[in-house]
Amino acid sequence: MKDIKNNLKKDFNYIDLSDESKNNILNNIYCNYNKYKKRRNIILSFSLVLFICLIGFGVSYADEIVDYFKVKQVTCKNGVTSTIGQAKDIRKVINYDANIPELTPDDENIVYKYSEIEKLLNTKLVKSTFEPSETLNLYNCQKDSNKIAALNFRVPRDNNRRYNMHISLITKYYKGESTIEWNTKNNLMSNGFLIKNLNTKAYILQFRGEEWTSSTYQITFIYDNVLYWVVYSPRTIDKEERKEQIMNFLDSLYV
Amino acid sequence: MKEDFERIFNLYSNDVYRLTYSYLLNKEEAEDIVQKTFFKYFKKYKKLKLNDLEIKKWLFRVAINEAKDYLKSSYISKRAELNENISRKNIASNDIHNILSNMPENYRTIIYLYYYEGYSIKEIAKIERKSESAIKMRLSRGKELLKKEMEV
Repeated sequence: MKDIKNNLKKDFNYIDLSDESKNNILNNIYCNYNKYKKRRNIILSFSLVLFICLIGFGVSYADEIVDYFKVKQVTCKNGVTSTIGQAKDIRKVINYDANIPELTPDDENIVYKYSEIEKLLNTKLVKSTFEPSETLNLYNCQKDSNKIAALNFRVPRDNNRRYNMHISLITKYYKGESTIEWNTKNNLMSNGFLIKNLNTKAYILQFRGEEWTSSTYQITFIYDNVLYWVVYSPRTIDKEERKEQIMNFLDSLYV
Repeated sequence: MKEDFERIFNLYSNDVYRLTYSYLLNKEEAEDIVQKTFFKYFKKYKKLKLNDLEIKKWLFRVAINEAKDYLKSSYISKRAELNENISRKNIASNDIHNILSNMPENYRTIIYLYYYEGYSIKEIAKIERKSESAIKMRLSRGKELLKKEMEV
């Protein structure tokens, strides 16, 4: 075996890189490295620009969430606080020519399946996995020159359901008052609650002075330029349970 | 700093070349792999905190991986038949080429590392990223093949 080893060593010694080959390889390495450095710098610059753009977008989007509603006025008279909240002018882009008839709140409601109305309007609407509804009742549709200007829906009334949801949107064809306001004689709860699935804030109005003592709560939020307004009745007198139910309801919202 | 790189290049380029040649059995292809291996080293050598012997093992590991990737590429598999005849013209020594060409690829580098570089089975297992028992088995089969070839 020793012979084999020696023969092998001798044979392998013949395999060698010539000086010319070594120089070529070194030159190629340096040349390729310069190209690699240039390419890396370009990629780094692009990544930096992209990162700055994304951060910028994130900041402006976050501002948007906070600025949807502003507390316009808070007054206190004889121990009763009045709060007026106002949303900025929001207009929804939809299929303005959708085949939906004009309707006033005095007319009979038209029942649509969620999927049906979403397809007609070419937009997604917020739903809840908690006590869900397959359908929506349209109770108001205003038009201007045959273009949809305003729409109002509500989740059909059901005594077993703990909430009543209204959906309201106006388009660029709407000529009436464009701001959305709420007015409560009592408390607006803190700074709003985040709806995680929608990345938007919900404002909860309650109708008594102390938090979580009211039997009904008005939850208001805007998602994708559509106003949602929910009256929720927890059907419990326990404050913690009321809070938990409403937080669970907010978590159940999705598009 | 470039001097450090060139010192390592001059020290180990022939060893890396012999290793890749034993695997690919083609002079030009082995030179390409040497270039790729040292290019990788050049990108990293400032960060690698290794002594010379560890650097050599690192280079061997990279070279083996590069050679394996090279053989896997569709370009090389398409021209494999054509290369069969050409590669024999590129050899430095017909004896060693003939011996190695009758062995499976994954035995050749082990034979080189064991007999020429004098690495232990444990060290070869680390370089090849295989278990020691797998290296032992390949080495003993390689030895048998080697004996037969050398006796002929």
